[in-house]
Amino acid sequence: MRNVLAVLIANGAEFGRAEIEVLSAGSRLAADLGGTSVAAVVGGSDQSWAREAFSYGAVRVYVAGSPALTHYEPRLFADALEQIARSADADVLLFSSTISGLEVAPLVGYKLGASVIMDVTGIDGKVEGGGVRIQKPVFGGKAQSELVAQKAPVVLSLRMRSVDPLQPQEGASGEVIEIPVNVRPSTGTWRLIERNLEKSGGPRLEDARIIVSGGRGMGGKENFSCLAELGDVLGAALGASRAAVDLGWVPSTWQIGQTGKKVAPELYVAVGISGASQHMVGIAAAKHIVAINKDEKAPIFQMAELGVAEDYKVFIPKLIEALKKHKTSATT
Amino acid sequence: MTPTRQVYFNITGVWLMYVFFALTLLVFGYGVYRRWRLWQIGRPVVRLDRLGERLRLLFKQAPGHEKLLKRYSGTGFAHLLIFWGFVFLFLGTVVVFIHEDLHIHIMQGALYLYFESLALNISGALCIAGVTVALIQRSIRRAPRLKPDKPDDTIILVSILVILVTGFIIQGLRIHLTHDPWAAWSPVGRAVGMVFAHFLSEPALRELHRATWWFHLIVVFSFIGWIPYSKLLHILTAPASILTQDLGPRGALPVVDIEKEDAPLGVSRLQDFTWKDLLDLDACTECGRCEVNCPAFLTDKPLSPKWLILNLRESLHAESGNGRGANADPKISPAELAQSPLVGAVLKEETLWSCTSCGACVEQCPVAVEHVSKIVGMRRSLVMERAEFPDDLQNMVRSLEARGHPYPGVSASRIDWMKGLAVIQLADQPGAEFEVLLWVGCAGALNQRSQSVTRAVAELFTKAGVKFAVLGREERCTGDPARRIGHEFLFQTLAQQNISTLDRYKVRKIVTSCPHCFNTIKNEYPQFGGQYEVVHHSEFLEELVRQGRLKPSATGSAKVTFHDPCYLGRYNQVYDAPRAVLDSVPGVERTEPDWNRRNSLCCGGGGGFSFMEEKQGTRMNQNRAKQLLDTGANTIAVGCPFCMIMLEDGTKTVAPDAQVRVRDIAEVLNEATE
Amino acid sequence: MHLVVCIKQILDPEIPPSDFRLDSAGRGPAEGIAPQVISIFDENALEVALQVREAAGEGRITAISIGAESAVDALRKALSMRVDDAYLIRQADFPALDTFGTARILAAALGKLPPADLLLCGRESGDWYGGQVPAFLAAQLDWPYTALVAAIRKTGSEWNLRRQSDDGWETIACSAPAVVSVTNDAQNLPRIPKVRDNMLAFRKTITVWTAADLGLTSESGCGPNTRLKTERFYIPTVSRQCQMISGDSVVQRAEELVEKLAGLRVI
Repeated sequence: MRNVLAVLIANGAEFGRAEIEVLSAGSRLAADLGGTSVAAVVGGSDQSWAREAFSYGAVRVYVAGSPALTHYEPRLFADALEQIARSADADVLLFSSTISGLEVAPLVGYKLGASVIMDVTGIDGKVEGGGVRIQKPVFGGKAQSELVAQKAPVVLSLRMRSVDPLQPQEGASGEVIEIPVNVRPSTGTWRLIERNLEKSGGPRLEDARIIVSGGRGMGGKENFSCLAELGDVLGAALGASRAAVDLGWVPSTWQIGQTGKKVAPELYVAVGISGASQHMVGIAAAKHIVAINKDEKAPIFQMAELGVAEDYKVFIPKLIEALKKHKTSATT
Repeated sequence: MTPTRQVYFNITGVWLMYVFFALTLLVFGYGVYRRWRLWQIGRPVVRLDRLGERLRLLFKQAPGHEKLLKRYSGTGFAHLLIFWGFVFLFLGTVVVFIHEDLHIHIMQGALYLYFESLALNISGALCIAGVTVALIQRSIRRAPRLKPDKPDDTIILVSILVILVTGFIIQGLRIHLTHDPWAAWSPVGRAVGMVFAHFLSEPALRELHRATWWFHLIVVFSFIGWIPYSKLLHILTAPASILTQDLGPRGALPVVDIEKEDAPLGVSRLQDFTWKDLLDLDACTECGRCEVNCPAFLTDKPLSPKWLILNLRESLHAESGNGRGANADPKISPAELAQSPLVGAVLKEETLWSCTSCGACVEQCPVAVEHVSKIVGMRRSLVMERAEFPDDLQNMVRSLEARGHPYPGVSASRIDWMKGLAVIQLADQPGAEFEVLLWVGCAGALNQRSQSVTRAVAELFTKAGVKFAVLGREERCTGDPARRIGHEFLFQTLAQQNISTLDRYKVRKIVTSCPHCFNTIKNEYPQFGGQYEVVHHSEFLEELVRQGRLKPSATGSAKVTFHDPCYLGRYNQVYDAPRAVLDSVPGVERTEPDWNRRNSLCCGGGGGFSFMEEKQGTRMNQNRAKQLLDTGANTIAVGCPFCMIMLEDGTKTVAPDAQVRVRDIAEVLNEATE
Repeated sequence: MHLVVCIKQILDPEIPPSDFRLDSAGRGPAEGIAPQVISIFDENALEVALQVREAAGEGRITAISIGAESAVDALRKALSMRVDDAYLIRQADFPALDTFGTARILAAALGKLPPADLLLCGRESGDWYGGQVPAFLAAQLDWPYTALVAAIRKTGSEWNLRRQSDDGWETIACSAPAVVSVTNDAQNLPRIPKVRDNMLAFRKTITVWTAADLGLTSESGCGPNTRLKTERFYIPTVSRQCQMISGDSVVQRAEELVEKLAGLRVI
């Protein structure tokens, strides 16, 4: 196995962290395997995506040449990627676990008859006898699975925030190859009819430097106003555990964890979150974790750097006061 | 001369009285019949078995006003006076009837002097005193518990007063006009007569006597005729309700036959209640004792046990055309009664979900109304027939179904608490010999705070040399929370699983530190064939101390107050054991909160509330915490894991800086025991 | 309208960490350490299907599961939620089953049912998080595929699919028949069955299909995923030291925390 293809799906969003991670992982893996790092760009993007790909170590960028691919549609994109993978002779295809990545990767894998693993957290190519080693937490993070794929092709989707980005090489360049793909008119129809961006006042969860997050221990929908106040003082985005979402207290867009957003803030404040492994995988990349929980034996304290074993209802108002005091003393 | 008196002195046309009386009886009989028909729409339930026991209870509770005198004893005493006044006056009338109509001349001699004259004079006077107190209570003090305070209530009291006063006037005038030689035996009547004689001439007195006699008669007959149409009905329904009360253990809710195809699960309409439930509605005297002791009502939840009963009664009467309901259709027969569901029309869902099932209402009710079983009955319909209940409880149900415990998201396992202790798990050592089975309970195993209580109990057992075992991973929730929220199906499933596990290991004696588990295994498992000797850890520890197997020694001093858990105290009458355990610890100075023992106030953790956020009103746990903090104690002792969680939270919130600890009695004892 | 929901029975994902143990071969969790439940996202898929039928006022829902004998419990649960029919495909007939095989088997089963208008799966299984079966099925059937759907409406002849996008919400219209994978959302929390439905579910028959019934052989269960080799399977250890804030009063603890955070230069 030598050729590693990082798949970039341009689906209306800008080139960002997800793409950087997938390119970085591809280049590292190609180095391990002594192979080549290449990238594929599908969807309506401009030339900048290829330039970015080169700066993160791709030596070639394949672009799907078909007017049918300006708008995202899972099956058409999968068709295009299958053809690119075949002509690029790709052994390993890397996707990011974005919505479109999670959607298209298995479709491509099926068409290629590949070994497919979704939402992996680590890959390397340092396997005796060749092949790719894949890390994947399972059973809510209670167990860790390490798999080896020795036969190509392999299709993987990488969990967001699981890869340290490479330093971009300014001015790096390479070859852009347009592959004329033939995407077959589909039997059914599929089209995006509406897209609403989340209209939250604060920063996006994925980009937030500070996140304040609430869980089952919050006790009720109305209690989240207290978190909002803390968030305001800290300039933080608001998140939640799956339990709080399932209880209908907050929208599912707040959900952080195995099946929600994966975040990597500088500071993560977990309030009333017990720390089920399901949630912890979403904050594995957080730099500093503060846990506030009544139950001093809650597992969250095993992951946290700073812990307060206290009822948040008593503690948070005092914390807000202390933070405000700190702010005024810092500015004067 | 034999002491007696002429019965119809100064009265002609006595036959008219018999006509009136016959009419009165017709009106009375018809009224009772209409109510009787309404109770008949209820489902059958056996409540006239063990008659001797029932009569004993009736005579214990009714004549002595046992419950009325326990709380609000002032008004309770007033009622006692009215009650006994009426009993005596009624007996006096019976004597007259026997004497005059049956021509058996008993109203003479000593009976006339001591009973018919003196005793009736005294009881009449005391009855007037009672009615006066009641009128003051109702019109001047206006105690909120007496709402709605309808005109009827006052009319009843005033008419009693009128009957009594006119009775004395008639007697006084007769005494004066006949120069009664036995006047001294009727001191009140005689005094009244003297007053009138002072102002009026003899012919006028005669006229007045005759007029008052007929007036008195008409008021009395109207009063009797009115009984089945007013709150006075309780003269009949209260003893009937007390006589037919549930004799089973109070902690056991009635069983629903889940397998029965066509029977409705739970109560959605009036006819799904039992006839006793419907009788209860008419037995309620609106005294409000239930309401002022209800933890939900006290914290502004949308529940008043009294109004629950009154609303149901209103609907029972209105829908049959019997009540005062404005929309009553008089043509609907009881058989066609109320097809519309109660919840929504008669009461709100939130009302049913505000009850902690603490049983204070049932405990306080002087006429044996069974509130909790009605509420659970209606919950059963919501949960099992409609599957509509609060989200928090749905999550609890899911957890019970999948994992056999009510704590969704918990990360502890059932055996985590025993780390470092040598505990026999029956699954690992099925043949092990043991004296008692320690039933740990879900809270005791999975809640972090309660784990240390369980450890304390296990350590005490070890210190006392008690050979005990646990079920460990095989233990399931007893089903108490499922049953209390109305999920009888889930309860029965869990109960049967546990019974089969317990029987497999031939368990005979069970000790548990959770009163909810205690109550369910002790009082409800027998309904499904699970027969065990079940004791609460307070009882077991008390015995160990008494036998000298545990010897607590002084370790300092603490001012301790004990909070009675509902399911230990009110439901199972275990009041003394936990106190004795605390008193056995040298250095413990025990104080009682104002509301204690049977009057204890619920912590707010029962009936599913431990698994539900309190969304309305103020917090029940804070309310109780305040009462306990008011004792000045520095340790609040509990005997229940729900109380522990609720009161720890409550005291911390009410008095965040107070140095007060909430501890289980086992922890207190363990700390003092080598 | 015919909706088909694929469900899988899994080890309860809420198993306490201290109960989680490996099997003797060290390739998976030991048997019997926790109860078996319906995979959580499959329950969301069932709920979405029920909501679609309720909104439309008509329709049949079929639940299919590939699994061991015990998976009838999962199907019973589906029936108690008022799914109309339930089929169990005997997994024992396919000893080396992987996702390619699973998709082939489910597609074959679908061929034996009345034509489906929508096929719903959970976004991934709650144990191993495969996350491929719905896509593979769509590819195999050549039906439109949409992942991570939270809610579905029928509008005319199309399906209206609402899902969370990477930065908001989006709505997709696709033709029938189609395959969707469902993710959890506050709107699709699985309902609690009525007790009567619970009991009726016990009286319904669950049809068991063997490989032969589906016209398949045991080899139909193998695909390229069987080439993957498990090198290690282990329980990770967490070793992070948490510093507990322990001032005397609440105010002191709050101030101490602020000080610490300032020290870390995060505020």
